[in-house]
Amino acid sequence: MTQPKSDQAKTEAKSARKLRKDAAAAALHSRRSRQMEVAKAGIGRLQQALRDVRSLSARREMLSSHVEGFYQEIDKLTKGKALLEVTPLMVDQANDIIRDAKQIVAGDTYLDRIKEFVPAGDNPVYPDVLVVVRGVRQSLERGAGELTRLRSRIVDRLTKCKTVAAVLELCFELGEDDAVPSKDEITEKLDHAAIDSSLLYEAEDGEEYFDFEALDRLNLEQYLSEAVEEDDVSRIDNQREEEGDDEEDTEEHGNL
Amino acid sequence: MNAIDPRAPLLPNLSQYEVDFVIPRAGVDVPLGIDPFLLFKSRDSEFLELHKVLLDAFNAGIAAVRRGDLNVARRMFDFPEVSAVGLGYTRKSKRGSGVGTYLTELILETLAGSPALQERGVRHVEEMQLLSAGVGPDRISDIAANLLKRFLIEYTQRQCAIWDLPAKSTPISHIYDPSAQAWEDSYEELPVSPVDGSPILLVPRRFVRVLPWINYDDFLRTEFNPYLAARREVLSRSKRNTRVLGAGEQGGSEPTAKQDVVTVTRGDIGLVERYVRSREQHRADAKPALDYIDDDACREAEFLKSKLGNVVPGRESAGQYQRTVLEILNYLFNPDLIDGQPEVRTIDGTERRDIIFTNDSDESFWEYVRSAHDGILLMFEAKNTEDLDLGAVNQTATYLGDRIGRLGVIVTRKTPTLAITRKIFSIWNDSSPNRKVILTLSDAELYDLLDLRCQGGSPTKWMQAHYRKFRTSVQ
Repeated sequence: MTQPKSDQAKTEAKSARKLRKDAAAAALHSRRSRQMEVAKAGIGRLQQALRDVRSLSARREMLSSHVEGFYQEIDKLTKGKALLEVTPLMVDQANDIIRDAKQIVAGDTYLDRIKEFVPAGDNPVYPDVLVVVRGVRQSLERGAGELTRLRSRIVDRLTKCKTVAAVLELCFELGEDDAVPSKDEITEKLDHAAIDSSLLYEAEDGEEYFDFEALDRLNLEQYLSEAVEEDDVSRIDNQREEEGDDEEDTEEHGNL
Repeated sequence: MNAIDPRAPLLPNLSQYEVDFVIPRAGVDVPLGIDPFLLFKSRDSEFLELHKVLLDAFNAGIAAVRRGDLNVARRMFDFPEVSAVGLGYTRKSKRGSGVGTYLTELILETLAGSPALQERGVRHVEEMQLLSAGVGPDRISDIAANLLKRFLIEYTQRQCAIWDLPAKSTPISHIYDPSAQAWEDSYEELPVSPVDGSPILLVPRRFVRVLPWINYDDFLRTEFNPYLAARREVLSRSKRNTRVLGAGEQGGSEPTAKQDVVTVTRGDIGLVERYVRSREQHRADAKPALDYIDDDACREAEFLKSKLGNVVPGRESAGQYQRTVLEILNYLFNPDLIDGQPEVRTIDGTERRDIIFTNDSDESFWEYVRSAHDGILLMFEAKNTEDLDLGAVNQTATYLGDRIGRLGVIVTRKTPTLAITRKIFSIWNDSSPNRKVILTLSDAELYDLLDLRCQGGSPTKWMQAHYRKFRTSVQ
């Protein structure tokens, strides 16, 4: 009598395992789909951010050129006119320069301290305009480096996004949510564009594969955000490395 | 019995710095005159209207001469000296030369001798100085004082109310009525001289100059002498060409007497026209006189500081505070900001502004305020409270607008808190495109301004910097 009962128990256990397996597969699929959404949204957002930064860089270059010429002219005119007021046109141009520079260069304390001239009946004198325009010119020079760094950060995030999206697309194409694409497969999928090697691990066969465990531990939205500061990125990366040493099953505890 | 110092102010409890009008002296005239040009150049419609009254009256007299109606002309050109204003150039007493009838005949004689003037009329009554040998700056002031007497009566009554000056019903003669083009006599509530009981008419500081902007000496220097030099050049070229000296050329010698000059101007009214146009073009330089104020500026500043310090914050002293603020603002900004009036109610009587000034200034900052913030009026709200509250700021913001302009000043006891400053910024930010600016002046800032004025600095420049600080802070 116990045998049939044992068979029944086995059947039930098998059925329960299958249910758990199906549930786990469904949860995995759901997570991968969500990750795909985040990655695709990130790609769109980062591509826009990259376009914005390029546009800002172009505007910065144009403004720098304009400021250079304006500064030189004011410098020339200042000689011998130390206490003379500049013309209204010069005030307007100086204020346009200050306003434009503030739109392009963010977070520069010294530029933040520069304010537009308020003539209030009397235009500023030449030396005042010269000093202020000089300050703006230097902030634009500093801004060039900052824009380059920002562009580099965005390109880095974009590479991460594209890598994650390519990996997930490969999985969906194979119909296997638990597939683990190799570096070569990812590279081919990305038409040999740069990939984010920080999400790869080297297996015993010497091949590099995508590290889903690392991916699942990440707060992907934050990780792929172009707004994250460099320090935050380092912190996120360090955090990921530390957690990567932990062999704990993260399938059910991933951030997504 | 103590003899009265003739130079002593006739209103002893007031300082010349603190009030909008010229304080007459006990026994002598203040060596100034009313300059009609200061009315002509004003942005205040009331003053412009007064200038029009002057011109219309004068040109009505000219038209009567043109018609041959000399009796009417004599009535129109009847300008006896107005000793009640206490202005003039007579050193020994307050009575001038008493040339009312003489002036009438001078004007008639001038017009009779100049058909061109009869045809053209006058653009400024001051032109008469250039056309008549007997008409000088004092006569121009007399003409203006006569024709503006109704305004001066009302202005004096307003100032009496502001400064608590005693007034009594007193006869005033020869008041011009523009609608009837006639002179009338009346009894008016006016202050009277404690010396001789004669009525006193107060004249706004904004109207007075030592010499009128359009004056004979300036005309001679800038227009007539160059004209004469050009004529001489033409004559000498003519002589070189003909080598014959004609009898008529003797007339080319330089006229040294005013009579000779006016003979030329009566014949060539274009000379007067050119000069007057030139003076009109330089109107911004025509400023009211200040150098007659001989009080000690620093003593006045200390007095006002002490007066302000003695006002206890609180509702009970609100009136005292308001008046002290008015005195300080007059000291600091008159004659740029004029006719400061406390407790001005709106037409419907529902709202009351503490102090309203008329901004008729030529100073670049006040000109900017007038044009950028849409108004010739400038409101100062006097808040005698320890802490300025949001309600007061909101109330001030509500007052600002088309009628009163979009810049107002809250005068208060202490520097506003950060919350109040933020509120003032938000009013600026939320009122685009017609931005409202609220500046504040604390006791400490008023002390600084009083010290600055004592040291000969410019309170207007200080206000400009104050305004700029606000504008840069909201960027």
